[in-house]
Amino acid sequence: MTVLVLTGRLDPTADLVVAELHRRGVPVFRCDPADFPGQLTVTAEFRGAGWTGRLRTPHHEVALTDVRSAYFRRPGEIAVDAGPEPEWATAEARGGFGGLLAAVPYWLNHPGRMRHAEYKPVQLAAAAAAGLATPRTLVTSDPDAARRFVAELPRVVYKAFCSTVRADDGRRFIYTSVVTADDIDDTVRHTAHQFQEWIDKEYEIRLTVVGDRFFAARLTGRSDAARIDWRADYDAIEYAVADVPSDVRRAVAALLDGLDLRFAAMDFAVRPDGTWVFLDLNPNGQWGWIQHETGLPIKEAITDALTTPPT
Amino acid sequence: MESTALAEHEKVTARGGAPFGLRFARRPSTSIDLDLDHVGYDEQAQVAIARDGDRWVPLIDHRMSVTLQTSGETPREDEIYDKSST
Repeated sequence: MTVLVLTGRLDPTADLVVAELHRRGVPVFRCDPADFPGQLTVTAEFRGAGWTGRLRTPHHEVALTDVRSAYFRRPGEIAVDAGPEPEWATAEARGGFGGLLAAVPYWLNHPGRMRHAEYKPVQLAAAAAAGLATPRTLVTSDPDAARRFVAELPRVVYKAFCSTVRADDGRRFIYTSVVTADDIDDTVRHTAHQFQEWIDKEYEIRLTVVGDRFFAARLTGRSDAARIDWRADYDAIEYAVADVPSDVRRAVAALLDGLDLRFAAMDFAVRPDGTWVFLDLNPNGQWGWIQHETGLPIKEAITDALTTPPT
Repeated sequence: MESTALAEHEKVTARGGAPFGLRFARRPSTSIDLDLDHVGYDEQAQVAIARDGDRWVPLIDHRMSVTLQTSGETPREDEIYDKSST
């Protein structure tokens, strides 16, 4: 059995899993679908009982029948940008090559499921339905609605759906930010904006779930910036392993089952009374630094899942 | 995760008519640039590698990996990936 790893060449998180697979003697075929068709070729045939064929790079090849599981990390898009009729060629590549990849029987996570789960409105509704506490949230392009929402609550934050943006001189990060009614102006009209109730918290939890294994890290900010947003000051975060309350565990299991996810990195704010409030879910979130800081065996769990897929 | 209001000097002045949310965009204060001349890819091992003096070692065993993954000096693997794709 070979594990298919789909990602770019510079992905230390995938490296951790590839190295663990090597350590266990499990064959790996790593490729970036963005390399198709230049550096990645495929030939596959269907004769009524599954696809047979091979994927090839200049350095490796694998029989499709040997691939039982795939780890979808951070691959590039399938795009044919050279040669004649690139738009049509790209559509065909996605339908043919992408279709063969989609036929792999076990994914962590399936890209289609991830695309659905990445929608924040989907996450919030699913989390609440699963029994998790959730913050009041407004998505709007109406400045008046935004002002009313902000005025109704003691404190409100603006949270971008996409946290990075390219600027002329490099990449920018859009940290979640406290806003007041006076901040709201007509530029809200230009796109969808998300405003959310501020959650008073003792600390935050980064919960990484792999199958039915839960890895909870408590993140306590030791600076003003980190206490409010740990992403703003990583050096000031104090890490500790945490236990997951049984009711949260049950609700998270139901949430991920409903979203058909086998992996998720989730963020919770923990109120002073101990209530875990769901903030965010990333179906392809980072976990390497959590393992480094806490020793939680996440790469081992991911490797376990990839090497023992259900039959 | 929640966040904080930005200091006034950190705010990126939204260009005329830019969507509201972009006023909160800023450069990560402690980000570093990854020197792509000092990283590569081992085709046989199928992992990234990094220059360590006069030799190449797996990136995950290199001090740069620790810096990149734990120091908070970059938005972690996302930034590495993004740099490699640009």
